[in-house]
Amino acid sequence: MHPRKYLATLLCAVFFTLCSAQGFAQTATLSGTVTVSSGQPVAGASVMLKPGNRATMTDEKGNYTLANIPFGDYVLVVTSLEIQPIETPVALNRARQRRNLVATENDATQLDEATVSRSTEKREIETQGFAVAVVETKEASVRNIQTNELLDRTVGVRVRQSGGLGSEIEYNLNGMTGRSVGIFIDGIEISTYGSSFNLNNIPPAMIDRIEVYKGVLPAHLSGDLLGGAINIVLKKGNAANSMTAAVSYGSFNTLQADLSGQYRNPKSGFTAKVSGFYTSTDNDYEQWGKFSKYIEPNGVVTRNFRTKRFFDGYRTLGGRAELGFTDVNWADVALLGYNISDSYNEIQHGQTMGTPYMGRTAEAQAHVLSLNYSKRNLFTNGLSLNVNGVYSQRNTYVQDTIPWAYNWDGSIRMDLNGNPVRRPDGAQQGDPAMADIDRHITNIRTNLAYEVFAGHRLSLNHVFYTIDREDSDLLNPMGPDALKSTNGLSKNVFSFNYEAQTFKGRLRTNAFAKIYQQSVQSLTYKGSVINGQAVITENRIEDSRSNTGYGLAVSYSITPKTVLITSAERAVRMPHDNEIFGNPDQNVLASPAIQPEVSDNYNAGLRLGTFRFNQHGLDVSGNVFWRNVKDRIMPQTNELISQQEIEQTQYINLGLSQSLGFEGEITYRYKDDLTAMVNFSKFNSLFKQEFDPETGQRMTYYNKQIPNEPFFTVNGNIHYRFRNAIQRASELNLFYTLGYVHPFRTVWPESDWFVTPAQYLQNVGASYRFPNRKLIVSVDLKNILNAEIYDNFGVQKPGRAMYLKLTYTINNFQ
Amino acid sequence: MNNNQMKHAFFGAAVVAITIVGCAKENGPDTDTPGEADRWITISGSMMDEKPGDGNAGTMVYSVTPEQAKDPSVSINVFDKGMHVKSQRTARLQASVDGKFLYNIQYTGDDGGIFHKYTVHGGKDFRRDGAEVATADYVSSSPRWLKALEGVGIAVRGTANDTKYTGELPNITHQYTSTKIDAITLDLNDPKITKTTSFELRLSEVEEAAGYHIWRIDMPVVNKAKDKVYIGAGVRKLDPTSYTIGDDGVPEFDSDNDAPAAWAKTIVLDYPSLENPKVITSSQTRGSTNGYRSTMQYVGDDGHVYQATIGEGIEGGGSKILRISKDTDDYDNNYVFSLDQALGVTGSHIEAWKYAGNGIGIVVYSLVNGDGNRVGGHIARIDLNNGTGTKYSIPNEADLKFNQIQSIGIDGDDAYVAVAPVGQDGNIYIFDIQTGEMSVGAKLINKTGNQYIGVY
Repeated sequence: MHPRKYLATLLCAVFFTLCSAQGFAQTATLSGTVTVSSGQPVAGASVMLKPGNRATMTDEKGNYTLANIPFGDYVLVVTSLEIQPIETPVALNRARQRRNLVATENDATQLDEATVSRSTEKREIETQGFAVAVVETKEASVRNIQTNELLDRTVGVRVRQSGGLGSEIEYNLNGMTGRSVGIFIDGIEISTYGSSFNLNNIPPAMIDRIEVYKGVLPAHLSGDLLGGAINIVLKKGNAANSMTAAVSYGSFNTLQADLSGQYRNPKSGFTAKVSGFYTSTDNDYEQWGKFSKYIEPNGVVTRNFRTKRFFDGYRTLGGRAELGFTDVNWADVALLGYNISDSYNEIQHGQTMGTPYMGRTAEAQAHVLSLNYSKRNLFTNGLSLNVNGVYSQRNTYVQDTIPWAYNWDGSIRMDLNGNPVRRPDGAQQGDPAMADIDRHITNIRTNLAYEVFAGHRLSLNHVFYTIDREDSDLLNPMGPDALKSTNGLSKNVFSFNYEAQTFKGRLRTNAFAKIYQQSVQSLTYKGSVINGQAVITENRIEDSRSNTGYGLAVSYSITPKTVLITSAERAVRMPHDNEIFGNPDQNVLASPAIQPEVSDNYNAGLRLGTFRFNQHGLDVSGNVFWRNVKDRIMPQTNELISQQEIEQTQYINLGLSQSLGFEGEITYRYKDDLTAMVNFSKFNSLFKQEFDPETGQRMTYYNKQIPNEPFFTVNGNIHYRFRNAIQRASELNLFYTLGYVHPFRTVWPESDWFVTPAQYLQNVGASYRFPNRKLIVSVDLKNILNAEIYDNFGVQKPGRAMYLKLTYTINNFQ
Repeated sequence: MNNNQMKHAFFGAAVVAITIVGCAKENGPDTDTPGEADRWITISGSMMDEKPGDGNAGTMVYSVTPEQAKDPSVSINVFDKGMHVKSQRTARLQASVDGKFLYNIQYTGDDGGIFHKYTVHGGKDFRRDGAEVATADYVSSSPRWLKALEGVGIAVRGTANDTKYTGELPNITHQYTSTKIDAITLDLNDPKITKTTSFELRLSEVEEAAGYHIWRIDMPVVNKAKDKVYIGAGVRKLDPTSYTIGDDGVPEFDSDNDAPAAWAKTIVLDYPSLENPKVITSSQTRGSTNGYRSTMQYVGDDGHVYQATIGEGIEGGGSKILRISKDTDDYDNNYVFSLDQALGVTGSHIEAWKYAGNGIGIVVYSLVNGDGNRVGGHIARIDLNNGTGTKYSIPNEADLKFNQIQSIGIDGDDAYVAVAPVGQDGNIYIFDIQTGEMSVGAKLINKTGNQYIGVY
């Protein structure tokens, strides 16, 4: 569809939403109980009204209440692992109505409420109109699976990790990557927590779910991000009392352990939640791809050199404690949290495998204090407040002092005379470094929402971010008062949104506007000698700017099982400090007039299901997206070399790029036993500059795929559950996953060498839950065919590997 | 698992498999089937990355017979028909004098600094020959290199060390900036490194105190006696009285572009030991001898080395060709060839040249304008023995840009130059070394933002 026409359609949708808002004001409250024929209450069952997908769960006594439902005809759907699903029509035409339901018991033993509640939540989020994939962590948390592996299997997500567990990661959402993709923890930018608490080490057991928003971002995830965001929602402290401990060991000496416990006193509402994790690995996996080289003293190269990585270890330790009150009359959540984390990472190489490093390490530590307060119906009905304030003190230390060049066999390279070869700049990656960086970050997110009348909600979201950074180089110590050039940054993002549910909840609209305000400061000192006298002059430049973005997300339930989802946003990416001020050290000129990058993002999708035929269930979803980035900020090199041949660069707004793609997912279920899923993502990231501005000639690569991006991926998985397989009341789960990445070029021209070949990654796994339901044992065999797997830049990933994990859980202690 | 369930499981797997099979790669047929020839003329072109003319997306090569190269009815399209030379950015290509071998060192990227040798078989048929050689750990992933002698390559790297100063901020006193020099020799016949060296290079005390230092080196050439190697140098000047404090608290002295440039310098090492570094200084011009991408110095028939300089601009009287004496291995300051004077132009800048025997040279040059920018592209025949020159008239001189040119080809009495404005079609031009006659050869088919940069 033509973008303008598309926008017009969306505007019409808003118009109708606003008009229809006047149409009704009468609402009902539906309540009742769910029991089995014996009269036993069904606790934790999901109760949902369709259309509109308003949902709740039954309490311990089987009671449920759904308030503020617009009058109309609905279908009430009750599901639980314990019972056969119930679907019954209900007509709401009075303010208070009761409906008690009697369900048929399933022969399955006990229920697993968490799964039900999450799948409801997953669907709830996925049908809000945004192009969002919700990743569930429940199953992964008892298996030997990293959070990043889960993400990598998610439709439209590519995780680029330069090596094994712990190494640097970049996320690619349908072709957008780098700074255009934001990562959040509970809506707070992950950088606030430092690199010692990130997706490399947060165990899936600590995570409730991961939301992956592609392109269009809801108002509560505010950032100048063009490509989308990944929001990690950590487990909240208001679930049942439980304790879980897990330990996993496997290939490459990888040991992982995590421990978590939560307690809530039902009378006082006092809540305590503690969790901790530990990971250590050598990552000494074998590699043999074409970038694995052995170099002789005379420079002669042997490729496909089979060797083990020798300096890629990773170790991390962290803990998180939250104390406070939940579900009390003055707060839904009031938690004070403390998060501590520490990591040590050996860096085996840079972005590519070209040069192995020895002795380059990065250490990170972070102390993070957080305060989370949320309350619905604050002061008045319909007003809710959510504040998440985080103060973080984080430290990063990078050490790189070994001067020798290494070979991929782990030995120092020798020159023709038998002397060790030195790295060109004196250390592995560049100049010798013992860089110590302290950052103090304050990040406060506030959300105030008001339900004007049922189904219509206005909200205001504000994010304040400030960072104070101190660098010191231990190799070149300076006093605390030493003069240094510094840059500073603070930003505010205000967003407003208006959510509405109309046409009996079938149409949901979410219109939002975001105001980005950024101030950057640069302070440099210049020294000069005038008449033999040293004079220091201070040069302070400030730059404040603001910009506006806006968007709309719409979902429409054509039938309860057919939901149309569509969204559009004008997103902006503010220029960086060095793009505005330049950087004299690197011959980058200032560019005060630089404008933000702007991207128009559109998504449209369809979500079908669950269709049930007897015991079979089928879900299908598809999404088309279109992105148009304008005014891309790019460095422009001054090619006209002056007398002293200094090449200078200036950042300018130039260039267009466009992504058009589609993704789809099919899930098939048989009873509760078999689940098979296939998803794929294919996109074209196209070079869109059509003409050379100087000559007016048509560009050779106009409309061609931008290199270095895996643009077609397929993931599939099959999961089979055997009940009572070995012992009565036990549960055996078998898993198979397949990942495929289509070959892609790494340079513009056609060249056999610069192509990353097709990749097939196959994993199998099994988990066994003992009848006491406390202990789960799981085994995972990854990359079973020992295939060559690469990231975008030719870094080889681990071959065949095996892991064993034990998880022990105690539920419902008092 | 019953049969029905198995069926569903296989169904799921089949969906995965079908999706995968549905996207097999297609390869177009290779239509070029060249015959045999004694001499191949290889043409190279560089492709634009995101900005027209940047040459950053790699290099393509294609070879034809001399007859085809000279035939204006032949069209050559290296960009669609040629072979991509392994290099992330523009490859730095050299060739054997008989055109049978092509040598490349990849410039930057994962395999930056890796040397490859190809045998030339016509069309896009270039075959890898001999070992790959990694030079990056000696001379960086973007080494400057030349075939310094038939069968011998020399790759070099020069980087300015941090400026030394005494005292504490703000009362600091500038001392000097030295240069780290790395050099290796390569056996081009049986590819491997044969010698390496690394040392710190200092200039005279007076020059150092004024802030002069060598910051880039290039163009290594071995002399006639095969006992010295001359390496061209670029000299920069800092202002010892002005600095900016970086974010690490370290003062960086500012560049001084207003002061007079240094007299042209060359680094001399013993060959093949690469020992005894010495800096020689010309008194004839204030310019750089490290060129850009094209060979700047040649051993003449008379045994002296003739070396082109750049960077003089209008004020400095344009590019010169200097002589390094075979007897002293130092500049012969009685000799200088001024291109400005020989052609009657101002502000000439030699982009590439080739010594063609008997003191005759073919020069490709631009002219520096009043803003200090190089404009246009011109070709002249010069006589080094009597200081004269004749400019040829070629089409589009105002639009031509030769700043990325890497090579002028020579076969017998013919010198070949690829002439095409950025992104536009052009021709090979052939210059008869003996008679000076110019003729138009094969047509060069271009693409937006791309450039023809060499003939070998």
